[in-house]
Amino acid sequence: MKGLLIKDFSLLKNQKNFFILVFVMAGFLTIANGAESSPATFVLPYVGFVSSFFVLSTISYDEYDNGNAFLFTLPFERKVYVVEKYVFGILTGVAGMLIILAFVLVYMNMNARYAEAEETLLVAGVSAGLLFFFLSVMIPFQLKFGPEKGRIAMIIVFLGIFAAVYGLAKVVNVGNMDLSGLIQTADAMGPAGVALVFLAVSLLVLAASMTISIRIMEKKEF
Amino acid sequence: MLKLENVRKNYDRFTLDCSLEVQPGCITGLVGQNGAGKSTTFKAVLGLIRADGGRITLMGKDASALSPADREKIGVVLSDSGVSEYLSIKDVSAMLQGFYHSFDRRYFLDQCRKYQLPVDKRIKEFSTGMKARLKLLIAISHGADFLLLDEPTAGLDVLARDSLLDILREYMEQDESRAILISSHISTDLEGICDDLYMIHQGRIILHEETDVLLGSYGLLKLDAQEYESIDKQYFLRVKKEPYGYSALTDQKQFYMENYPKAVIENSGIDEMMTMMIRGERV
Repeated sequence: MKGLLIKDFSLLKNQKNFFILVFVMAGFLTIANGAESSPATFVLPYVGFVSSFFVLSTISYDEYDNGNAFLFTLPFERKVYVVEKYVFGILTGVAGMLIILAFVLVYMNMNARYAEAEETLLVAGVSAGLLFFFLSVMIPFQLKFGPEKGRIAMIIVFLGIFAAVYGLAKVVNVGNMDLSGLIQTADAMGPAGVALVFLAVSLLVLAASMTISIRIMEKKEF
Repeated sequence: MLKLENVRKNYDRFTLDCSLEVQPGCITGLVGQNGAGKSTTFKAVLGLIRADGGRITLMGKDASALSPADREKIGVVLSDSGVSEYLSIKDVSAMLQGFYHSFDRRYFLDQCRKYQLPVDKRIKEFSTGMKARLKLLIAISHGADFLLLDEPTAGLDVLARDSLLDILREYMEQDESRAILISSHISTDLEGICDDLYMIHQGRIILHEETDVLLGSYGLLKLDAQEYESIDKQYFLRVKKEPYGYSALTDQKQFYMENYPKAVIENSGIDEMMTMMIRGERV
């Protein structure tokens, strides 16, 4: 896996100007956010998603000009290739989020906005969970269909999920449902507990996605 | 080192059905036209495509059961694929060090400098010749026991091809148990370096012979109609009709030189041999 990680970080290094710009933007947005809400609600998921989605670009780089044929003659197993993509996506996403989280916390501390620290951490947890979820959906599509067809397939799936959730909500009539039990449970767990549960569910989805991706790669011919 | 037994792969318009063997200490050539099945053969050996039948044994193991440790003992050049061109040689050397325990980084970078390959530039900016040299240097820089080289000389001029073949000779001299399977559609590359040659056409091996025998015993007879009628044809492999009469490929040049001293017998190059094997008819 080491060689694959070195390759992907080398590719990332080539895009360093783009990432510097992303962080500068996020820093600017944090400062420009004002005092009404925690700046973390936007900048954390923004930086996390932009940095971790670079993994999808690395899959395109690998495929470019039939590069996969040579890549898969190197000494690693196909499942290691898949696991590395998830590891890389999570590493870059989490690292990006941690950097900007540190910035946000320091900035809020400097402005004596201590009360928002907990909200910020909750946002961080939920963002990380969302990030894992999106990676779980996008990596298998990218591996199976490649960059062009993958994007179309993914839009169809998201529309499908939206339609299904919307239809389900109509059928069970969410508006009149008694959600107080759920809210009470969430209250009892506290923000940190909710974030943890969310993270745990995302990790389960991630594991399922990885299994599917491995199956996709084992079947591929180059 | 490598053995393919009736390895089959079916595509819509092409079927590979190939058997061949590479012995330790030998350089074996695979020669054929574009689209003859050379790359398909390499890809089947490397597990990039799954064969539909037959057996591939690589370094004593079933090729599909090779572990990463086994793969470290193989060096590969593919005709239509290489390392990501968005990387520089420096990036590539760091990556290879992560993959191969015995990757010799200093040797690799020294060789790159020797062949004037810029280590900081992206490979995308390299010329065809530079890319070809880099591919070969990548294949030989981790002390592999066996090289699988698909069209390593493609797109190179004569001088560049020669220097590339010199690298291979040097590689073989370092350890006598090493072996190479090399393909080319330029047969002169292979004549000078290979111990034995396989000719492949439409997915099938049509001829296998040691290079010395090919160049020593095979010959091309040029006969007019009258000579053709009277000559003993038992050692003819293929015959082709020509404007002047017939040409015939034989693997017993000496026999005809002794018994038909007046017949025109030429040493046939591998290209002519291949043309005869493909276009000629059996007697």
